[in-house]
Amino acid sequence: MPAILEVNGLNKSYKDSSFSLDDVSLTIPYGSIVGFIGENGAGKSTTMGSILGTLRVDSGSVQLFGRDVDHKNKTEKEDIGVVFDDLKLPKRLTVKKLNRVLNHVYKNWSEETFFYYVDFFQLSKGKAVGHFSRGMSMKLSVAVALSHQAKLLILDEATAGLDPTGRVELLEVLQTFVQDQDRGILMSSHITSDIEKIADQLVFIKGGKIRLSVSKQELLNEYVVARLSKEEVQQLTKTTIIAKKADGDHIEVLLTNRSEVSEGQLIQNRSIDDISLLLMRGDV
Amino acid sequence: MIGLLLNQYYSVSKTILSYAVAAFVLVLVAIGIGNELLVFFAMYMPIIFLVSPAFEVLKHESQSGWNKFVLTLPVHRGNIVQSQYVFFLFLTSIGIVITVMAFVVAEWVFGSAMNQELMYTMMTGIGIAFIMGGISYPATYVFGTEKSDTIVLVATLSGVGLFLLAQQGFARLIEQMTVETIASMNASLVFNGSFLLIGLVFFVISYFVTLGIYNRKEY
Repeated sequence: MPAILEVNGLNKSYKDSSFSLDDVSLTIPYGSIVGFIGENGAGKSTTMGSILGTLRVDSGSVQLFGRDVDHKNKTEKEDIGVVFDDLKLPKRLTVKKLNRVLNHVYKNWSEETFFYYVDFFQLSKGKAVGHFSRGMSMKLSVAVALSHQAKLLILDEATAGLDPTGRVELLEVLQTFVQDQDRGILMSSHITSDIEKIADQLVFIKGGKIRLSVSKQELLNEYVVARLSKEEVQQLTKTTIIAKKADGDHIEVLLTNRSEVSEGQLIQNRSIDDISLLLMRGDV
Repeated sequence: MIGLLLNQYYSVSKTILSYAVAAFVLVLVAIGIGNELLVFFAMYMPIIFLVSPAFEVLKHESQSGWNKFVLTLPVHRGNIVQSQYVFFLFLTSIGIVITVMAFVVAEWVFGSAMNQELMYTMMTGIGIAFIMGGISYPATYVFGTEKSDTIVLVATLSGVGLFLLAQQGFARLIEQMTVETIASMNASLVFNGSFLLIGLVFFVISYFVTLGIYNRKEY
C-alpha cells in the first residue's frame, strides 16, 4: 500500500535569501502522525508550503496517495486539511459566515462536523473571527481542517498558543483522526512534548536538510545519548553516530547502537526535546 | 467561485452599504443644488465610490493571511483572480443601480433630472472604473497591498487623466470633421461609448496580466 504522502528530493531556493531546502524527503504512512521537528527557519514551513503548492519548488516530487501531486487539481486539495502557524481565515467573518463560505468551496464540506468541533472547542458562532484569541483561532483552524473529510492534515505549529487543556483536547482529536488507519498527519511543533505524545514517526530538519527520519519507538528504544571523552568518541563506529555536541571536556553523542557504549556512559531519561537539541545544535 | 465571492462580499459588506447610502445622498444633494458640473460628477461618483471596496478586500485578504490559505482550498489560482474581477463588476453594477435610483428619486423630488446626455456620461464613469480596476489589480499583486492606497489613487487619477486626454483628442477629431458628418452622428454617444469600450478592453487585458502575475506568486 503506498504512503499517503511521499516527498522525494525537494529542492527550493529563494532569490533574496541564502536559505534553501536541500534534497528533502519524507513519508507519511497511512494511519500515522509524523512529527516534523526543527528550529525557527529550519525549513519546516517551506517544506509544507512546497507540498501544498503555496511555494514553487526547484526540483523534487510530491506524491499524494501514490500519484504525483498536481497543484492545479482541485480534487486533491479536497483531501488535504491545513492549519498554519497563525490564523489565516478572513478576520471580519463570523464563524457562521465562514461556514457558508467554505460550504461553497469544499465539495465534501460538512456543516454538522464543523459545528460539532465549534461546540467541542467552545467557540462563539456569532463573533468575528478576528476577535478570537490565538488559542481560539487555532482551534477554529483545526475545526475547518477537520470538516471536509480530509485524508491528510498538514499542521504547522497548530498547538502554538493553546493552553494545556486546549492542547490535550486537540491532541486527542488528532489521535482519533488517524485511528482508522486510512488517514495521516504531518505536524510541526516547537512543543516537542506534544509531538512526543502523539507522533509515530519523527523527521528532524536543520538548515533545510533532513537530519534524521526515524520512528519514535526506534528513537526512544534503540537510539542512545552518551557522554563520552574525545578518545572514546574516536573509537566509535562512524556510521552509528547521528550527532555530537561538545559539552565541556566531554562530548554528547547520539548513537543508533546501544552496544557501542557502556551503561555508565549513557545519559538516562532523555526526552525527544533533548535529542532534538543535540541534533539541532550538534554536528555529525 | 461562489464561496470566494461570498467571502469578499462578507469582508466589505458594511463598507458597501455605507458607501451606497453616502453616494445616494450625495447624488441627490448634487442634483438638488442643480449645478451642472456637480450633476455631471454625480453621474461618476457612485460608481467610483462603490468599486473601491474591491481593493479593500485585497488588503483584508493580505492582512488576515487568507491570500495564503486560499491556495490550499480546492480552487484554481485562476478562480481566485476571476472572483476578484467578477466582484469588481458586481460592485460596478451596484454603483450603476445607485446612480439610476438616485436620479429616479430626483425626478420625483426635483422634476426632470435624468436626460440622455447624463446617461452617456455614466458610460464614462464606468470606463474610468474599469481603468481603475485594470491598473489596481495587477499593480497591487506586483507592489503589495501595503501600497494599495497609493495604487488606487494613482489608478483613479490615471482613469480621470485618460478621460480628459480622450476628450481633448475627440475634440480635435471633431474639428477635422465636416458639419454634415457631425450632424449625422450622436457625438456624445460615440465619445462616451468609445471610452467605455476602451475601458472594458483595458479591464479584460488587465485580467490576463493579473492572472499571469498571480500564477507566479508565492506565499
